[in-house]
Amino acid sequence: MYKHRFVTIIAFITFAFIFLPLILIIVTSFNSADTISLPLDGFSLQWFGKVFKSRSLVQSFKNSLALALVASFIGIFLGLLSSIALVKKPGKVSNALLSIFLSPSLIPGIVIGYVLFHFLVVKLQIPLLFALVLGHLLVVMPYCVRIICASLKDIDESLEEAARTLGCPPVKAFFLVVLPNLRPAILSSFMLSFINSFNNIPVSMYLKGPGMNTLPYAMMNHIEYNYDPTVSALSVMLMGMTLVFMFIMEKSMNSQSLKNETVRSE
Amino acid sequence: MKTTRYFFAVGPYLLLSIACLLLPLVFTILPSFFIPSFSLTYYTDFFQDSFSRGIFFRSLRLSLITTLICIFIGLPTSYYISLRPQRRRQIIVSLIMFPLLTDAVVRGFAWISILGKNGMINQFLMNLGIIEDPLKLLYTDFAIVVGSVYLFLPVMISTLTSVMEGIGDDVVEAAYSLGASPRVTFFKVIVPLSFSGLLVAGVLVFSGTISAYTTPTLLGGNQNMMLASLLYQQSNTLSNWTTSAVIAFIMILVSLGVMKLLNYLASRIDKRGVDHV
Repeated sequence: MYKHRFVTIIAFITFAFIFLPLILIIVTSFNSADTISLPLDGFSLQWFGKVFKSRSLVQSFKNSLALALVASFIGIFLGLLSSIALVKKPGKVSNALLSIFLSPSLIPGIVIGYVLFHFLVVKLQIPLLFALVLGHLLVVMPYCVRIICASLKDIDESLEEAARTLGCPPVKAFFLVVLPNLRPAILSSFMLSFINSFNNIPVSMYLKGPGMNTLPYAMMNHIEYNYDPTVSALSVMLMGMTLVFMFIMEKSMNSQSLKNETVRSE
Repeated sequence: MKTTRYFFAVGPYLLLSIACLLLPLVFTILPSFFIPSFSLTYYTDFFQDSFSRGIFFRSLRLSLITTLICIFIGLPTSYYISLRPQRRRQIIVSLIMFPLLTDAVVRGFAWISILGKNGMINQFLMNLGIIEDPLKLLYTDFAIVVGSVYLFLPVMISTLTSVMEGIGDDVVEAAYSLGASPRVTFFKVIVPLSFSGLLVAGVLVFSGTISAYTTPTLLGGNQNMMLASLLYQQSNTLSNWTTSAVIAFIMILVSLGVMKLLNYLASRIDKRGVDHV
């Protein structure tokens, strides 16, 4: 291997730049001082306790969790339906539909939030909660369609044909042959949908009702008014959740496709 | 597959796209062109107002700076990663993707703790006696750029790494055996061969930065607004529908425009035969 001193130095600075801020949060969340500061005062778990004592954080966590689960489940079900149609009937119509289904990821999130709010809530007076679910469905749609479509195209069609020629009815062939092969794709689109819905701010911000705050927005408010390690502690817990998700995704799909799919998450 | 079945299957998402994307976009943005007959007055007003014009150009400028920094840091780092053995490379890439999957608020919060008035950098410099009063680092354009680079650097690195993995060892060997130094090889062989990936990642970083809301709001504050925070302020706080529609349309235009432009550039480059990904 040839030595690249310049490349190596920059790479290590970059790694420090990427990981130090996260390490800082983890370290200060266990610190007993009530500001985010170094050197450390002493070990304490009080900030983790404070997270659970904050009613707004706990409630908004539950809201975000429920919302992300609902959006991801419906999103994947519909994504599965439309992906099958798009892959089974290739052509101009399917291509056009595919780009329509992927388009929410090309439009700035804040614009989506605003136009949804303006049209659904202000103009049509649709209940906020319903609009919120629709908005999040729009957020997860591109992930569900793209990943499941790509995976469906990769599945060898002769497998399904073999099942059919052996007398298996179409529906049964789908459940016994196609669906098991789609498992990794479904799992990873679920994870990405969940993460993107759970972390979404722009859409939730416009469509949250008075009693329906989501966690990222509640955290933003919390930071504005109190600057203490409670948010660090909460962040550590969220990072733990992300880590578990990443682990499952790594197990279920190769890192190449993971890389390709995670690029737009803000 | 029968046509009725086909439309039944794609129906829900098609309906969602029409009712929750197409119609809202049309109904929200179209009125900004009519007062009541077709006119671009709202748009010329936007650019004549020094406040909104300033925000527009700040957004463009900061996004461009962010993209350039990501490229300069991303190129060597990705090259370093692409030279590692496969197993270690996978681990590094997964680690780099980790911040991308964490909440933007968490990442913004980390930088508030570092750049803030009582943040790490100020504490450190004051303890050493280098400065007496804390530096104003947070709520500046600098903070927005740092936060945005932090946000999108993983995108740049992962895209470039996968392109660089595809560059054959033979090309690099050829350069070395012809007497090129590692530095020359990097600048004359690796960088040009990564150009297509650079364009793709550049678009993602640029359009990501210009449309981001959370990070610029947390790190830039009210004095250093970007387009997304201006849109939120105009629509939610001031209920100023036409101005909001103007901003929304400009944001769509900029991010789609940049994408189209660079796609065009990329296709031109491919035609010249530099494609190798």
